[in-house]
Amino acid sequence: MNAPQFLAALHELFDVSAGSIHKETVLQDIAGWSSMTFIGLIAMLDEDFGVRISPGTILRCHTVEDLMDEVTVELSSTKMAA
Amino acid sequence: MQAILKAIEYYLPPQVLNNPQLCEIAPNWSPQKIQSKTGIEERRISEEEELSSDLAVKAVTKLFESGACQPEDIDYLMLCTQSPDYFLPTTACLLQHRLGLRTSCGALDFNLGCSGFIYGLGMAKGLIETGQVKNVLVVTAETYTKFITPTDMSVRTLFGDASAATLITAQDSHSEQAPAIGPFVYGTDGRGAKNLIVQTGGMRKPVAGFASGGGVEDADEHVLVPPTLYMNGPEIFLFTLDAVPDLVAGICNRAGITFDDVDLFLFHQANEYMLRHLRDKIEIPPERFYVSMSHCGNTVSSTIPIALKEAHKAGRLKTGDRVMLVGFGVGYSWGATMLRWAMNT
Repeated sequence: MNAPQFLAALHELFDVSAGSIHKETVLQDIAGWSSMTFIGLIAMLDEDFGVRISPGTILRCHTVEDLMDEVTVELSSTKMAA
Repeated sequence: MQAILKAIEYYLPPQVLNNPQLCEIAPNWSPQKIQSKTGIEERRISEEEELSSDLAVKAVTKLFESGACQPEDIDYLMLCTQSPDYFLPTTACLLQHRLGLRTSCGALDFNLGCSGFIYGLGMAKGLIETGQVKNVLVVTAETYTKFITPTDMSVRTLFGDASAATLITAQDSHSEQAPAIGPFVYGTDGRGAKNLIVQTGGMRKPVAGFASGGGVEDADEHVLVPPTLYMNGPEIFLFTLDAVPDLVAGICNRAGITFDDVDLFLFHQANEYMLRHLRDKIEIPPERFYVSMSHCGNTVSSTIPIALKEAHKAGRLKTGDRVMLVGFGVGYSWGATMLRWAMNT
């Protein structure tokens, strides 16, 4: 997973103009954050990155970068299991 | 002797709650957004005095009026509901009397949500194929909207009230054919109980506190008045991502079939966004994946019989077609089965 790919997926999910989400962006401050986009985020992580991150873990992530770290950890543990 | 699904009728209460009405309550939402995120245009809401039993009477009466069966034909009535009229007596006993069924008819309630129709089919098949009875009414009826806080959009956008009545009947079996109903795969994980729950009103948190003005508080000191539906949508979604692909693989394995052997896939109609994601994840061909919920929303245990009826009316099912039914949700509880379509009217 690379950062531009992850940021592009977030822009598409939240339907915001390019460049409005950065690694430092506070996750729950993204315009359009709601119970429905939260579900969309879980779907996106599953579909685009092949990881299932629990809602509790996502809520503990402060910034976009924190979430990217979680995805990286999950991806490496999946690889190790395989 | 084998059990077959002979007829389905369903009833929706007349009061409509559509997306523009919801947006009046929550102005930061738009009708288009609700439609695109849920696949629902309107839900039906029971009147204050209109209970699950009333919806069930309407659905079963439609079944009798269709000519599929008459009250005296029914040997056993099972009602799947989580919003019964009373703690006791059993709502199915009230229905036996109101529907004019014989007093030699068996009747029971069972408490399941989105998986309930699958479990009902499993029990009906067991009763019939062990020779206990010939005609079983599997009735699903819910009034979840009575549990919903008007401003809680996470659930108000999704759930609608409904009842469906399904006749399962005994027929001579032909051993060369696949069973008309079955095999079955079931599953349960009570660790998910807290994610879709009405906490108050039962023995653990009785409603008596409300009468004295006390209210009942949960662990986070949120006052829950009155009995209120709580849903952790993201957790439920994650559960379906874990459980449903395995469930589909499990029923294929148990039935000895591949996706090519399935004419129509019909899942519990939870919300269309989630269903599309599951469909793509499991790689089910879109043209064989049926969705019918825009007119009534998520009606819990009635979604599968309602969608089956709509698929039949739309000409998507012909006699002999093989249909995969998959239910999953509150509990957590899940189940799947195969139907060989036998309804011809």
